[in-house]
Amino acid sequence: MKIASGLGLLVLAIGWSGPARAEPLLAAGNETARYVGEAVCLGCHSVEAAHWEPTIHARAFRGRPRSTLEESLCEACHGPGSAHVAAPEDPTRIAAFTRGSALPVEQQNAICLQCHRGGARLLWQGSAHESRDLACSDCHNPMSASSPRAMLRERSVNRTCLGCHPRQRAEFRKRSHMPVLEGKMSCADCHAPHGSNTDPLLKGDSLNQVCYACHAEKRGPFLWEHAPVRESCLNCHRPHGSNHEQLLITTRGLLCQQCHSQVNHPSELLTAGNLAGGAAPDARLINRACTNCHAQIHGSNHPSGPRFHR
Amino acid sequence: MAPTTHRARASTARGSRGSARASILAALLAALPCPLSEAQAQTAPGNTLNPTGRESWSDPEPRGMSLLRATRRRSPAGLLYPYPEEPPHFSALGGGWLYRGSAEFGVFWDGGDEKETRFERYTEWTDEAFLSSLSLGFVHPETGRYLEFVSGGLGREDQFYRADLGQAGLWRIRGSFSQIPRRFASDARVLFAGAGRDVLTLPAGLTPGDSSNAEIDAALAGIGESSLELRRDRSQITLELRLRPDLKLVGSYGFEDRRGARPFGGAFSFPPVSDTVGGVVETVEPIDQRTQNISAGLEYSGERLQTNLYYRGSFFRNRDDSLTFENPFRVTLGPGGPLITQGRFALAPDNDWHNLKAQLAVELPLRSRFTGTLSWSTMRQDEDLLPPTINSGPVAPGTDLDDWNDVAALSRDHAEARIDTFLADAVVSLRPWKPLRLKARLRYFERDNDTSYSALNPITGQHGYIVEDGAQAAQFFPLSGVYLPALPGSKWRIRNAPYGERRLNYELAASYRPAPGVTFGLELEREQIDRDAREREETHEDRIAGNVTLQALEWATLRVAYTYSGRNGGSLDPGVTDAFFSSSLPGYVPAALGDVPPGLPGLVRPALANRTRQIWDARLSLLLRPDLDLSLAGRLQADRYRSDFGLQRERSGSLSLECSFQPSPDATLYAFASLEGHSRDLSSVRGVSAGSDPANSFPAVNTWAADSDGNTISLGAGLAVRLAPGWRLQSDYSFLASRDAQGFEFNPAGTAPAGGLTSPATGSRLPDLRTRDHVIETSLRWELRESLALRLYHRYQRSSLEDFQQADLVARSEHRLLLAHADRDYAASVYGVMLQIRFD
Repeated sequence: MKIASGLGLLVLAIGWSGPARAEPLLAAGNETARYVGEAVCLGCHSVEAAHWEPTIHARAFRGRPRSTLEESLCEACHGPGSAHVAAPEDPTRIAAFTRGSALPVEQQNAICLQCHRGGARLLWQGSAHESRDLACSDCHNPMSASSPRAMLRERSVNRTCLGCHPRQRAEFRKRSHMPVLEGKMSCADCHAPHGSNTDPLLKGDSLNQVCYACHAEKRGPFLWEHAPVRESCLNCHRPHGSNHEQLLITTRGLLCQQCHSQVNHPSELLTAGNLAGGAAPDARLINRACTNCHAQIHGSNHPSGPRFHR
Repeated sequence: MAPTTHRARASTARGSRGSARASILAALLAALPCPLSEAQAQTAPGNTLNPTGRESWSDPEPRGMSLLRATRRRSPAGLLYPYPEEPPHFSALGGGWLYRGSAEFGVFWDGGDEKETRFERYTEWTDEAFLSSLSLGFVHPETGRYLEFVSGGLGREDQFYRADLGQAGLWRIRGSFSQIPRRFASDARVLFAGAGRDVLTLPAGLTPGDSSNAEIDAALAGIGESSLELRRDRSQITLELRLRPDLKLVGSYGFEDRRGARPFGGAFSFPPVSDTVGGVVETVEPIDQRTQNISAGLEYSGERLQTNLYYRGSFFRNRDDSLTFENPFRVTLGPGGPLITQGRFALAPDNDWHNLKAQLAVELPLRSRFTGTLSWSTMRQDEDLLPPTINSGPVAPGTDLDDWNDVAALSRDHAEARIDTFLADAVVSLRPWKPLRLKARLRYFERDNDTSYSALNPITGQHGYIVEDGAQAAQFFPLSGVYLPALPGSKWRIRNAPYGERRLNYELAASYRPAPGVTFGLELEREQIDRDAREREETHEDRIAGNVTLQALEWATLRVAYTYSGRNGGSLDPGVTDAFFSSSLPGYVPAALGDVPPGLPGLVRPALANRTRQIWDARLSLLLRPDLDLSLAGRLQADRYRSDFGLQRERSGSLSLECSFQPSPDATLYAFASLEGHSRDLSSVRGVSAGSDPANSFPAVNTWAADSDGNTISLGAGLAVRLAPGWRLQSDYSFLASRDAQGFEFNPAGTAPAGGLTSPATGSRLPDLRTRDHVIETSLRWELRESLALRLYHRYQRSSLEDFQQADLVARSEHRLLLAHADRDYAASVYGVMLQIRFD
């Protein structure tokens, strides 16, 4: 009954919300401008048009326009162009999406969101990128099919993201790293750049849920859980890359010892003398260190696995 | 001896309760003519040769983006748009369809240390001729229909395929397939037969549980080096169908197949060991796993209301539910005693995950907006459980493994494990004044662990389990894992700990835009976490953050942010886990001097400890010339933990410089440099078994401290230039050097260092961990004709690595049998001659 009521309310709400708006947002003072048609635009912007032609926008607007707005092609996004034709050097007479545009970023984005609101952009307003004044056109370039998908500013998702996140560029080159520069992963595999319920713009309800998407074998649940593992993979791992093996945050022994201090072997200091070539080699320091024995460190499903030996 | 590769396998043992259902589901999904889908990954399949996954034939547009402007265009944040490539040329196919395509075929060969693990970690570089790229495009402009196909590395282990089919603005089907190789070792010394399968057996000449070191060494003498690797075959298909302009149906189906083998641990008792109690045995885990992901959803995007409804499911299946490995070492329990001949792991169990999510956004009066999300997930696992041990015979007084090597020795025979999560996230944003935006957020996340398992043997009525298949009992019988009521201090786990949490975040934020391109932001947040079964039930963290964005300047964009947070919490209860141990049972007898504390008093685990954190973040983009980008980014994070022992302090900082110079379509250059540093300090006390008084169990004289610090330098540069008409050169170089140092201090009068070492033998630090990598990749392209080009390719990688954990490893030393893998220095090259053809 509750579900039925909820669905009923949803249907009512959808009906109330009405159809999508079909008029472009205009800069102040341009309200009297009128549409001039694509042919007029091409008179000056033939190169731009040539680059726009293979984009998904051009295919949609030409082949199957969803509204009269889309039918107006260039002016669907840039607004009616008569004022611009009359004063082409005046940047306030046309909607532009590049630096120097007379439109504030928020208004530029609003033009894009006329057609692209909802879906993955439902959480855009108030998101980390939006609240830092990022424009859609900081990441996307609808005027050119530069990337295989999504009309990105750069050739790929990764290159687009790394343009503003240079620290990650270095991390992906470290000794152990996610295969991003090898083309096998994308930043958007884990992150939702248009907004998310989970910081930092993660695609899941929790960080671990994101990790389980590729590491489903770690999902369990296990008979014997390791508390910090279930809590957050980042308690032990770096997300992008590490100078240590397996994206660990530090060497294995010290990593375990930041939590484990029980009497006897977990709390002992391991030194250079405990290396494989030292006077007293110790398995807790060399090779897999603690996980030589506690192999199922992500959790054990063995009835005899409380200490992750099995 | 020729190296072998342990990858494929074909066996299955015991099933799980869910496997039959999963198989049926998989069959049904496979039979769907248009499988459902959702993006799980797979947003950019490519490979090392073509990381962006684009078609091979591309030329920069000589006219740039516009005939009207001599200067380049930048994004609102000031980033230069790259020079566009020449628009693709299409030819008529008939029926209004246009087509184009390109292919690249070449011969590759490699040289140097090309088989080194890290050189081929995610890539295949074998000598052969292959189709390195194939792309096709069909478009029907009148209707907006299209089909695009791009692939790379055809037939190789890092191949990828991607196809998009649709009608623009109405429907879209996207499919992709990508193989991801992952090499772990190319020099593993695997003593066992059956690597890559679920049973590892010792070679002829060795007796399980009764071999001498000399016999093991003799067997190892005939063992060569092996590769351990796995491969992910990842495929996905997604569907988007626009039912109305404001209503979209989305769905996806993904399938991932992982096969191979990877290094894994294993042990029969712990060090120090004597000649009669086993040792450390590094094993090989078989990987034969499949994951299916499905999703379906509805997205409504009205002007005043938007909503998303999704279902997502993920089904993991492991064909190897256990790994049995024979014991190469001798484990005896006296004359005539039984032998600990083998061990058995329970491997990752089959599991299911379901998620239902509803999102809603509503435009409200007074320029306000409400956004809400409800999401519920459940993770379930019901694998058939293994018996507590695989071995037989009496190993300790009152402990006969024959009473523990059958599932009848379990309190139940399957896992019944379940964790549910729930997320509720509500945001209200409003704009009381045009330049001012306010946001209030309430987020609640809950993880509820419903798994309940008791380690109780109905056959004997005993609590506990069998540690390492009886090996520890062989070393010292009280270590069997079985609770012995008559034995003082017989403290063992008797039930699982259902770790759960409830996390509540309150956030208030304001942003003020006094002028276009100028934004000031302020955020206040409190995060409160209540945990189950942790020594600190409650913590709360208060965070204040401020940021400034300045885009109004013609010549620069500046972003600065600062965050301060402080975490505190309730009292610590180290005894919270007692309920999961035999010490909670009636009749439990503590050790003679009292049970030792569960851990060092004053050591609080980092996730639970009081902490202050400061983060400075700044980025400056300088638009020095119309064709030049220069950006400087810095970040500093300082964490201080308010704990007597454990992690005390952690700091990291980075500075990055990037430059992009694009004077013309015929010449573009870039360079970057990044410097990163980090440090962390840790302290602890070596504990001794001296009763319940912490002062005795953790004597101050045994205090030790370890500090680690390191830095990384990353440099890179590249260029793409037109040398002459028809000739283009592209070259990219990157360099990375890292160093991590680890020092320690202890009181020589104490007994802190392990192994009874004297101070001179311990030194004061461990050897530095160092890496140094060079990669240079060059392509020279010669356009022979309008539709034919020749590409010469060269890639050179050189790397050195020092890791004290891998130094001086041998396959057998004392009672340690290892794979003896070490990442080695290498230098390797790949050469390629490719012919590119364009057909349009």
